[in-house]
Amino acid sequence: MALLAATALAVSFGGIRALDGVDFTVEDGEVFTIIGPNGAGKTTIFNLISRIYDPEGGRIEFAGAEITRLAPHRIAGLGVARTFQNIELFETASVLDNLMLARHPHRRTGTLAEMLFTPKVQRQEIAMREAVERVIDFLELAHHRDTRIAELPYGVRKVVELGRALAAEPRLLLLDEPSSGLNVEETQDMAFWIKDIQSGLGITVLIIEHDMRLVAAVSDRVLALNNGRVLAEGDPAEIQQHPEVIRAYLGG
Amino acid sequence: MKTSYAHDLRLFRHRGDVVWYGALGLILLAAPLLTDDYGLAQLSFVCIYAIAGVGLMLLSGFTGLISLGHAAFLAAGAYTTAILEQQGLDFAIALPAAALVAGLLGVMVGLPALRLSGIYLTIATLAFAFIVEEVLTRWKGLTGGNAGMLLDDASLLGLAIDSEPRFYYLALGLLVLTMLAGINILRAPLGRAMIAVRDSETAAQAMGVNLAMVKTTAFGLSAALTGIAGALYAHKLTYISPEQFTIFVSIEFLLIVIIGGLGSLHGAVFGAIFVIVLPQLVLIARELLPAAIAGLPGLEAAAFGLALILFILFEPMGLYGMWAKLRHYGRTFPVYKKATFRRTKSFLKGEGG
Amino acid sequence: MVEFAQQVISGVAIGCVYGLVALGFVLVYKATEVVNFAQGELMMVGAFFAFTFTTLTGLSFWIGVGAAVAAMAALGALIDRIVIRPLVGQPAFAIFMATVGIGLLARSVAGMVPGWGFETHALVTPFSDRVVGLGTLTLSQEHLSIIVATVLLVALLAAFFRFSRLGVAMQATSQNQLAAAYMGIPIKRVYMLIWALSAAVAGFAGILLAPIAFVHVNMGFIGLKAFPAAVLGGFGSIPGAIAGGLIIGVVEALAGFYLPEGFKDVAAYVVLLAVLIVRPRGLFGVSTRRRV
Repeated sequence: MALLAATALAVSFGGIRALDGVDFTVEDGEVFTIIGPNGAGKTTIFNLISRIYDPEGGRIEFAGAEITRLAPHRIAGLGVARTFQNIELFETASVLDNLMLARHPHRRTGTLAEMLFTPKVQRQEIAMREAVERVIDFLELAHHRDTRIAELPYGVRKVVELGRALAAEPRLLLLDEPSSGLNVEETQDMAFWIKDIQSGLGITVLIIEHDMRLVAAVSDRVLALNNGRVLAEGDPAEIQQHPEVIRAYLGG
Repeated sequence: MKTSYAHDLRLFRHRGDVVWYGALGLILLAAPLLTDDYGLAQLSFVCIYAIAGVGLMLLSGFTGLISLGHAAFLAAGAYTTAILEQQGLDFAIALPAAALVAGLLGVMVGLPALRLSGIYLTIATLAFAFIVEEVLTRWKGLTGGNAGMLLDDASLLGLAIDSEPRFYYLALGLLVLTMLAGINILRAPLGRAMIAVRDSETAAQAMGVNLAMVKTTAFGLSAALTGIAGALYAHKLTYISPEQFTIFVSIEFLLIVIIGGLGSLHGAVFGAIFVIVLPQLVLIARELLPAAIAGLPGLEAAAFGLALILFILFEPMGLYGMWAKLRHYGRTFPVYKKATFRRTKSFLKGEGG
Repeated sequence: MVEFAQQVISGVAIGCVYGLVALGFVLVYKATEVVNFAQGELMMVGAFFAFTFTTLTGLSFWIGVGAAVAAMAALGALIDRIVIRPLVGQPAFAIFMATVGIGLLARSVAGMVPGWGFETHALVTPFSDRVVGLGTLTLSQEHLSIIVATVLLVALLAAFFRFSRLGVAMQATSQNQLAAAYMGIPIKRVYMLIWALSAAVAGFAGILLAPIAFVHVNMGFIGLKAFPAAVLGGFGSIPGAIAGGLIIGVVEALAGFYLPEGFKDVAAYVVLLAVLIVRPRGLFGVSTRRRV
């Protein structure tokens, strides 16, 4: 069953066609990776799914329901979580608070109740905390729990970014260049986590990535994009040998 | 030692805090025994400014929406109180009404402000406040215009608040309730959502935060609290006119939250203390300075301007920041690291921050 | 009809002043993204300097004015060096509040200077109290001189930015600080000069305004109208700033004439809110969205 289906996606920015009729589907439970040179339109796809942009044409369906023009803040509640290429953590807050915010779609209390800190609010806080602690355990972030993001090194921030998306307990996880800026060891950790997320947590993962070893290690299927159009789609081995893909990447 | 998540939620997380706050509470309760009417009046003003400070802190400090027009909400609270009490209503009705009217005004400002960001929002609040000030001046039938309005002592459910100690307890009680409300919000989803909106709207939205709801709520709440301050303010002065709600008052409020320490509730109290104490210091300075300088008007404003500049240059985390550093120093001595509080700088245009 | 034209002209004249203050303000904003809340106060100080150098010290009008503008340039450079430059890298809001502090300080210090104080002073110019007949219209020479001086100054600035090395360097620094630095442009010095220029323009505006509004520490309030003017013009646009100022000036004048009391004082702010509701980035503003 296709969890996510994109049909004929098209969007332009100031005269440049960023996406020009892109189709793809992501099956439930798989790890699907999008590759392509810079400017190919990969993050734009994510931004369409997150509803940061409106597409000019095409549609996106998630779990059978159309989300093409849904209000941006409703996407998380449907079960979609994402990380950002340049890390969009809440700098002044602690790791814990960043992750706690991911539980926001589970908020069942209103302003007045929260001002009074009613028992219902307290129970909700503890429930959220328990969910978040599971992610902290999984990613081994306990040591940094109360540290402010501004004081953390880049590698740890990448992990927190991942943790924040996981804390939402999504059905679909969007990872935008999870290995960028990471060294070999950190990238290996990332690969392990992605595999764990798929098999242990049962989450479908959609990745944008440049590191071909990571792509080959974790992906079930790969989509190659160039200049806003689909070049090829298949399993990692096929894509790596695809002549069009090689031409796009190496310009030969 | 922490043994449960519930422990983390508690108001006082360190046992030492209970002792400190307990002692502070006792001193505050005993204030009428420790000082005279003048001192109590000053303390009352601190409470009033601190309540408004908490209101502005929630909006500007925590949600990141800078308002240069909060005097308008103070006025809304003050005038609502004066008008209702003129009709013979009790303060117990006038106070919530003041909060409601100011809160609604806040929502009214917040809604169109959703489309504005950064400096545009701030200038819009400034424009809004100017317009409100003018409306108060021209709508003579309702507000008495420039002639202003007089207020009698507040009557709280029949009890006359006709002495400094009584007023002080009223103001103090309301401040404590305000602080509790603020603290509660900050340890609940709404507070986290506010900070998220401030730090990264994009990420906040992607995680399910309804920006419009949070921003409007922040405006409404902030305005309502300032309205409560306004109700008290009206009674403390016993006479209100549009001249008391100018842009200088709005700037004074911003001064409170900045010098106090943007991003901390305690900062609102520290800032309020500063704003009330500084003119007293200037008074003392006047007596020590040669007559030529001492007689000059505008020394207070100059002191405020200078203080603002100096704090931003040398102590951007404000008074609360200084306090936090001191406390951290005390707790981590002798392994204290000076760089712990150094702020990251961003140099590229449009990088925000 | 004649009345209408008179109002429009006086609106245009005051609008020129608003536009000039807004221009100085936009100069700094375009280059450094700093919003200078004290721009109105700078205008006030410029007027006081002119008053001091002409009336108080008895220098000839043109020399006094020149000295005042030069003094303002120095003041602008000083503000940049002492307050703004140390704050580079801090959040925009912090720097904005520092300028609020400068404004407060400027206003109160102006009140304390012997000879200045909180009274109203008159600036005597060669154009005072003379009128020019233009068909059925009677224009005060003051209004006329404001408009002419503004046109001249704007033309001068346009030529400066287009043709002089310093002007081009300023433009480069405004558009892309990093690239300008790589090209060998001394960024810090250029910023300081931009502040100097901005303050000088503000002072110039104060000198133009003084004959109609008198010299007083509250002149800064008039300068606050530069905000609506700049927002109308889109905040990053110099011609926009002038256009914004003119629109505000004319709307104000007409409001004062045709509408009940009080509307004139808030006309500028009502226009501002009306524009922002329809166009949240000002009339000519460009939307800058962070790429994520």
